[in-house]
Amino acid sequence: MTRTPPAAARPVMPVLSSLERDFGDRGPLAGRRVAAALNVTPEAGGLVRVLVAGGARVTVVSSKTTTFDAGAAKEMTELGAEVWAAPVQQSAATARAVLTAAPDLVLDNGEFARLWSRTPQPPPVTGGTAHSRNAVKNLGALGGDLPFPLLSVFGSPLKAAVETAHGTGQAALRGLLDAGVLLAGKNVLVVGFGVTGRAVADYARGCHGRVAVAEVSPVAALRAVYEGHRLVPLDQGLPAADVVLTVTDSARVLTLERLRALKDGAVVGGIGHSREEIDRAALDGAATERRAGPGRITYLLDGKHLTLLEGPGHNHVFAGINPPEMMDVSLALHALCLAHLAGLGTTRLPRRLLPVPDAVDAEVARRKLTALGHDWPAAAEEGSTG
Amino acid sequence: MNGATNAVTSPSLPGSPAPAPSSSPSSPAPVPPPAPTPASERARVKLAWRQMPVLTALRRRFRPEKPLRDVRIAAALHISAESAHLLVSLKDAGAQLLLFPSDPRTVDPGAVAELERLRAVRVLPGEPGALPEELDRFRPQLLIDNSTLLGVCRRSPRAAGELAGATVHSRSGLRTVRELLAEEPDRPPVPVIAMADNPLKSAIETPMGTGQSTAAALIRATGMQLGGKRVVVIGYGTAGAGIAAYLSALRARVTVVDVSAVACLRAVAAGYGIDSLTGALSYADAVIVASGTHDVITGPDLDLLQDGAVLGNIGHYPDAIDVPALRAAAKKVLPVAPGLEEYQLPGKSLYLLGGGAQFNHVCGDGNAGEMMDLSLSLHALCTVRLWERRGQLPPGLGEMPGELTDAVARAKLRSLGYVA
Repeated sequence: MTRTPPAAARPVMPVLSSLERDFGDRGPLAGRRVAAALNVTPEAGGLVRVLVAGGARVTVVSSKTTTFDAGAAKEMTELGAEVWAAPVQQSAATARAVLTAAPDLVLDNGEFARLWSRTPQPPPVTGGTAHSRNAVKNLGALGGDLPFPLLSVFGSPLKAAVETAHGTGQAALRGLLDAGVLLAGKNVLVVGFGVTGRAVADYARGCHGRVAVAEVSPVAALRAVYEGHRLVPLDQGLPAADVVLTVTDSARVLTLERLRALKDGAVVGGIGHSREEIDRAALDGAATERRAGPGRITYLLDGKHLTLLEGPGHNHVFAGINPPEMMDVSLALHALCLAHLAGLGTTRLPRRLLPVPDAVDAEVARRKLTALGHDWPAAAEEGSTG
Repeated sequence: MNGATNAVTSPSLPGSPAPAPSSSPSSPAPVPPPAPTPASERARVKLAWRQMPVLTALRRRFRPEKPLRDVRIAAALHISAESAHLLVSLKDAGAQLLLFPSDPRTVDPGAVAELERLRAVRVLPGEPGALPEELDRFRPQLLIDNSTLLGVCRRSPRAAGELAGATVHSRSGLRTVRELLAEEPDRPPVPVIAMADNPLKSAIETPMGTGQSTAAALIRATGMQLGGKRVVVIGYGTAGAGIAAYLSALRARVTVVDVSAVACLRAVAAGYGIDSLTGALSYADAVIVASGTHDVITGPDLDLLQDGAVLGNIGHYPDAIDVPALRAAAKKVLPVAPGLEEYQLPGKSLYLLGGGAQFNHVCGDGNAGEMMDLSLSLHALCTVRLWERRGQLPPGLGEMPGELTDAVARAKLRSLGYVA
């Protein structure tokens, strides 16, 4: 504990800080072994700090190589965690190390569930947490039950309606502003109107962009219409767009053919799960010029300028990470869910995707409200609604 | 829809008390609205139906197909032009109908007249609990419920004898049905489909429909300028969040009160203030109860409110605001405008919207027909589905079939001119 970096250098995540003190006092993870698939970042370091304070032995596996931060890995190691830089899906050595660590709790990106399913007699796991819908999207293909119960942090109203709606909304705006894009009066085409697309559209409108939405699901499309956005078929929306933001679960949304339909000076950025949402490989091949700037690459394609936004480390997600103040919410949900699983005793949960317990959501919300200066306990006593 | 009523509005004086209802001395004398005639009432109902293109299309399809031929359906609904359209559509599908008003105070006489003219349905004068013998006689095969019909059917084997399924409209109705089924899951052993969790209702109709109708009714009844006013929204569920968004768009300063920390954090993240109930009441210009629960504003809370504060409830239970306590505390009660009363208490006046009943219905037109088109079309499709698959669906609360939701969304998009 004494060799950790000074607190002032850490991201400000007040809920995790309060949990670190509380877990240190109560030791809810004493004797537990936790394997966590995380983006190895300073923010994730805050979660590892809480788990270690709670008494857990922690094995961290980098979720992606693109987000791996060596400084954060060093900090995690100094806290006593074992850190593996190569993701499970890319490294047999990492997979072996995780199985050898024999975790009984996991924070999964889907790869642990896959590893457990293909391993004969894997170590028994009480349960785990799942961060994103994408992480569990293909687990249905495993057939039947999951290898262990998973609490869906992504399904929590705090993750969707607070962290994504506002954290990702603001992060997307920041990505655009950092790349020097002015939004006022611009035609902004948002492709995909799920929780994140809605947030991006909302924040773009807040900066006085003229937002149009392209969406294939009729329910989401109708919602976009009634929220006051113009709905356009993707191919019709492209020629007029100054800015195109893809926020889908799909690959090859902006194909080379569609990129060619854009006007001179158009800006495109991806925020969805797939690296291939925008066909960058085809763009690289077809463009006659390529000039990199901060957070962006400007191409010359068919004699027209096309700017592609990208995140730190050439990440396909141009928005970068959510503000630490918002990641505080979901990382705290993981910590409290893992403590909840550790406290179940002999209770066995079904081996399925399960909702985060209401009490955990409420606990995180209360701590966040307190951190924001709201006198929450008084409000709880005096309020009277349901 | 009867906008002529408000063609003349009262300009408020500079420095006049914030929520001045439309009776300041400088106001020109209001032009009395034209008295409704049967023809004008019918035109109003027909205009509402025009604004429901999805249900209109379903009705056109049901008329020759008769998918509910001679099926007995009991409904407990707010009787409005919009719900009348659902009933007429079900009649066109061949059904025999019995209708109980969800709340006798929100009955739209024009809608009742049109239902009678079309001989579509027998309209009863009270709620199902007050008239259980009617259900015993009717022996419904399907229910369109706010939970009270299922409540009666659980107590009466005769009423439930031929029951094959039910749809439930509101969130408070769903809550009650959940409680009933938790006690005895198989009584009655029929499938129940709820609208409240459907995304068309929870993400569009409730937040946007209730948001707009509540703001409109508040303005219509009081004439208050919302900009800069401190409006307290109690309950930040789907309706409360929509109301907060619409009032805020009209430049009100919104404070949210909710017992759920999760709801409060959502409100804070969306940019609203939060407070305790007692804290918020002390500075409220208007208080809107949107929690859908009982006993929210009680006698002692009345002491906290400032002079001129406006009180209204949009939740299902009329006892959300303790109106008897308000009456007991008042020296005098004056009718001010349709749906607005002034309660003169010692040292201050409080203004009550809609007598404590859902004021977006009493003081306004309720949710826009264009919005209710969504859930009422879902009721129509689910009712047909429950009948077609009677005996095949598991009892208890079931999932809304996703293809029905998509079909309604597509039809709505087409009606708005989009290719879908």
